[in-house]
Amino acid sequence: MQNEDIGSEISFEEIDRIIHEPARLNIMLYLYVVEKADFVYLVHKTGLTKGNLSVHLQKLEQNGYVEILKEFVNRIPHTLVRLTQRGRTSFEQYKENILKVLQQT
Amino acid sequence: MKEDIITKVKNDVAFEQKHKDGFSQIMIGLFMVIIALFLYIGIDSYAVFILILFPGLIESLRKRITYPRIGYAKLEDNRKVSSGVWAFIVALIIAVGVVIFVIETSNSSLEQAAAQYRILMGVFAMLIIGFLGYASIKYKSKAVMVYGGFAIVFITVTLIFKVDQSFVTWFLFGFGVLNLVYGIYALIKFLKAYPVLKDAE
Repeated sequence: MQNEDIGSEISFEEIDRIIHEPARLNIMLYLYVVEKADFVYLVHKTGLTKGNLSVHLQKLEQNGYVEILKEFVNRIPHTLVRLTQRGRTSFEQYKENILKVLQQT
Repeated sequence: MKEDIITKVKNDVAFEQKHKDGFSQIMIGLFMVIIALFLYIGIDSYAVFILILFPGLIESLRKRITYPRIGYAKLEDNRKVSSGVWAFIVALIIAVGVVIFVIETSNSSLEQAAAQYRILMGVFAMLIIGFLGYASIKYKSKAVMVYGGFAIVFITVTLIFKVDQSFVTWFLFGFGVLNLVYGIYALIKFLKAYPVLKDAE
């Protein structure tokens, strides 16, 4: 039986593959619930290594999903990351789409 | 109703950033112990000004101890009125009701002075109950429920049994020490669980 709330059908191809990767999905989720956060917060929450995290952040930045802000605090470099409006909307869309796909199957 | 994953993560992050290190409990405990000491030596009216120093002190400690371990996250500013604000308003209304009741039922000037003292403590306890009630619902923490229980016992005994100042002083002292001990325990647990993340930017 088809659920009326599902609306139009959606295929796996429409799922955002940039966000769908588990490490990036984790990063996006932990950035979605805050306004901005530093690099240590993301290392702590995602359990990724610093190198691995940097690579994934770069990928998200290239796609316009996150904004990386570099600053100095007491001459020590400090990196802040935040979701862009596009990143926020894409994450919400991803959540909606994945639920639709799961309900369809 | 099953909690949405986003809401759950948001609450977990908020708890971790604001309460897991135990500094909030340590500061509440410290404040109460100081108030108790001020009451004991008779300069209670200035104790409230110490509160002004606490937010800056907590943030300074977090910059040195908490953020190098779990990182810093700026939480979202929820502009809509939350259940916590409502709990606070309800607590305030009850407190005002208690104040009016005590004023109306006291006769002599001596009794009025004692009543005013109880009013002050009653308002204070009600605000604590409001805050702790909100915190216990939001973070599902049993520890804050225990604190709430202490606050209820405090206001009940203070208002109904018309106790003297020494009882209030000792109660605040005990409540403060309890907070301090719990806060220090939480801080030690936090320091053991989260080592400093070296070389992280």
